[in-house]
Amino acid sequence: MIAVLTWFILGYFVLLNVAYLALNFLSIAALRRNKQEKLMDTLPQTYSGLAPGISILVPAYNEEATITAAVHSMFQLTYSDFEIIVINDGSHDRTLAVLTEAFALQPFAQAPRDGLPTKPVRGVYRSARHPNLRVIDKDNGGKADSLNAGINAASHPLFCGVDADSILARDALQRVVKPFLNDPLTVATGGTVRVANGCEVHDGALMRVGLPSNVWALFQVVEYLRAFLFGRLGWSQLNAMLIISGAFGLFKTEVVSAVGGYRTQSIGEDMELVVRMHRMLRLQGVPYRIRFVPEPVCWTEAPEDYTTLKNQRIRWQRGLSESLHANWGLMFSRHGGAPGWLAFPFMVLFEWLGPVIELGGYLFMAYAFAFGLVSWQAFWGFLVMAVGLGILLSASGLLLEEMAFHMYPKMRHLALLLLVVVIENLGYRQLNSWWRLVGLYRWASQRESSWGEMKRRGVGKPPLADKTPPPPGLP
Amino acid sequence: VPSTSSDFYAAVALAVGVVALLLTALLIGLIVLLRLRLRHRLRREQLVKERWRPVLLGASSGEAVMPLPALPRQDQACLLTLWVYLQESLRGSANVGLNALARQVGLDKIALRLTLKGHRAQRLLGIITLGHLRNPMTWGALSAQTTSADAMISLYAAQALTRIDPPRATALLLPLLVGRQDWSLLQVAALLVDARSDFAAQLNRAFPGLAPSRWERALKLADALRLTLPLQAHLQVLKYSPTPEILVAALRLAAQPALLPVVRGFVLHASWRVRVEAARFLSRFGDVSDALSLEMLMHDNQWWVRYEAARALQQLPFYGPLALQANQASNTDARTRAMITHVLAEQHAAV
Repeated sequence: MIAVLTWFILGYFVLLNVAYLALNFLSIAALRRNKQEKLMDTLPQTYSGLAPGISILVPAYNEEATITAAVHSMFQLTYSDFEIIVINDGSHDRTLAVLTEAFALQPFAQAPRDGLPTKPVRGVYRSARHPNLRVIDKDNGGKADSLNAGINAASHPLFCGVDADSILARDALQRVVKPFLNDPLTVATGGTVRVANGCEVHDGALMRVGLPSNVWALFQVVEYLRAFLFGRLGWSQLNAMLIISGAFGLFKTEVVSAVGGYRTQSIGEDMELVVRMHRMLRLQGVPYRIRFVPEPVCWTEAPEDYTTLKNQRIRWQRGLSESLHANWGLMFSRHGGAPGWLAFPFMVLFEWLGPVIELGGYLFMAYAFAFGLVSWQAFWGFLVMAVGLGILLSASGLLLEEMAFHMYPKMRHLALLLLVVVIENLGYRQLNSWWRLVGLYRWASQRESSWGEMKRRGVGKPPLADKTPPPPGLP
Repeated sequence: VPSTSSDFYAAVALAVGVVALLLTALLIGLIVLLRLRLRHRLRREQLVKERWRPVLLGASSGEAVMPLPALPRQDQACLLTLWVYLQESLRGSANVGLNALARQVGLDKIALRLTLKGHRAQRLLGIITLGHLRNPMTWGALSAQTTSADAMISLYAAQALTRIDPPRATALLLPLLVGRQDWSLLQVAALLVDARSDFAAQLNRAFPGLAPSRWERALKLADALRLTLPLQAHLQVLKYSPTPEILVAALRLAAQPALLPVVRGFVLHASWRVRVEAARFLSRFGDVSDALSLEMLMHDNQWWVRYEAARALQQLPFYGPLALQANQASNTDARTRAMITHVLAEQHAAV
């Protein structure tokens, strides 16, 4: 029995890392192709006026301190045709008043649409200064409900859901819209989200890329590289990407409406929507593409303290559980294709049940060693393997970053990241697995998870009041 | 208590771990090497720019700079990139001056070599350069690239041909322009901007013989380039359009009053997108007899149809905001009344 278990644990760790390395190879091929086309990005761009219009949806809940700067920074986006729709989700602070003052909002008699069900809309406002800015004031219903209200009001064929505190690259829309222009079957695209901590930000725009001094944030820099550069990019090559970060994603408005919009009961509404799109479009036999754009388009502030980070990860695991559970029909379904036969089982085995087996493996080996059931050589062999494979994966994430973007310009940045690649595997990843296990337990026992308080230091901004951030999707 | 199985397990686990750590060390070495190479490349590029930018700017303004700096092989791609950037940024005589300099330096030969023998990024650079150089002698090399399975390579080769000889290029490329689904419509429209009239002539000639499966893309291209189809061809599409998507594309392009009798038939079409486009057309070309149809469309189940119908009535000279308000006062349909309020509010905000 002991032998079977030890071999199972070893096999699991090897399989997990081989699967990730396979995704890594897919990403390398995609990044190489991307790099070959970089010349075209450096040439002067022609604005044909033919690009599809985009409605930027900005859910806002108690955002009085940041919302004006956020909207101003969105006006700086380089795209020919877009509108901004801020959805004030029943804020208790002066969010609506601040917007009204800053943008000269006036009530607008918008004809109601028979769209997605949402909490009651109290009023619609339009800026007298910016014809492409509208504000929807509604009863509190959460981020998903706000996005659904935004979708109902959107005038354009594409919509982009962004967090009010996301820092967007000026050409973010131009980049994420490209797959829609190149392939009419595209229904959704996501871009790489990076950690903004340590970067210099001015008026909602990224001025200089840097690394945080806070160790929790540093660990997350490497985590985000791993998650976006080979997790999502790899799956995208197989048209099997199951997550588009809630911090920044572009969708075909009509398709999202047709599949029922965002699920309001879900914590991980961003992932749930994408998995549901895969499931329903495949069920209907509709050809589609969900694409990932590897260029960094969005920067987000990562938690810098233990409690906030722990709560975030618990929520993410609950969100993952809900998303998978709600779309179980995709798994090994007749028309499931790569999402149903590869990505979904991968998520179930390595992301959803992963913490159980990973932590179980560590505990079992420690127990077996303590009671003399395995030799000390076997115990240390296991530790070297588990940690070694983890470091290898983190290093490959950094390699992809260096191959394609090298966003962290200084040699000392690189040296620090190389150090983090090693040390994050000596405790942080195991701690993360523990938090994910707690999330899994809370989901299984249907215990309400506290959203907790997100302590934000503010990137390039004065300290903000605590607020609850939406999960940006699983890294 | 070590057992045989446990020892074997230990050996396997340790071997996997050690291999992983060795691979990690290799990756770290690779990362550092990439960074060092990048720094070296950036330094070289900076030097090339410092040396060549004054020369290129001088050439673009008609000044001859002598003697020319040396151009080692490893700097050729960097100079080509700089040259292409300036070509795309400047217009008129500046392009002529840059071309003369390119021939003097031998960039034409370098570009041809890259087009034929370079790796993918170099081929793209070579193709773009040849397009700007407009040398008819390179026609054969470029036209061979237009059939490449690589969408990016073939599309930029098509653009290069269009720069060299627009009438010949549009005649040669028309089947690809309307047939290759992997060519971004936006990019195709962009490459045809300077060959708009040549493309229009080719399309008008070829349209009656086009297979219906090509109609949608051809219509969208024509729309993107603000072209008008010959009346007979347009009527043919409107009458025999096999799908609503093609009909929508044809209606978007419709800009001739003579199409009015046919378009009127689409206000009751099953597809709401077709009804939207029909309302838009009527807003421009409709007459008094169309007011009733538009009033009926204001009761449509689809929000966008009601919206376009209300906007059309508001814009028509014989109807306008006052008649719309009167309609609202007597209307019993709450959705229609709300839509009229919406459209009038939009007009008020625009004023």
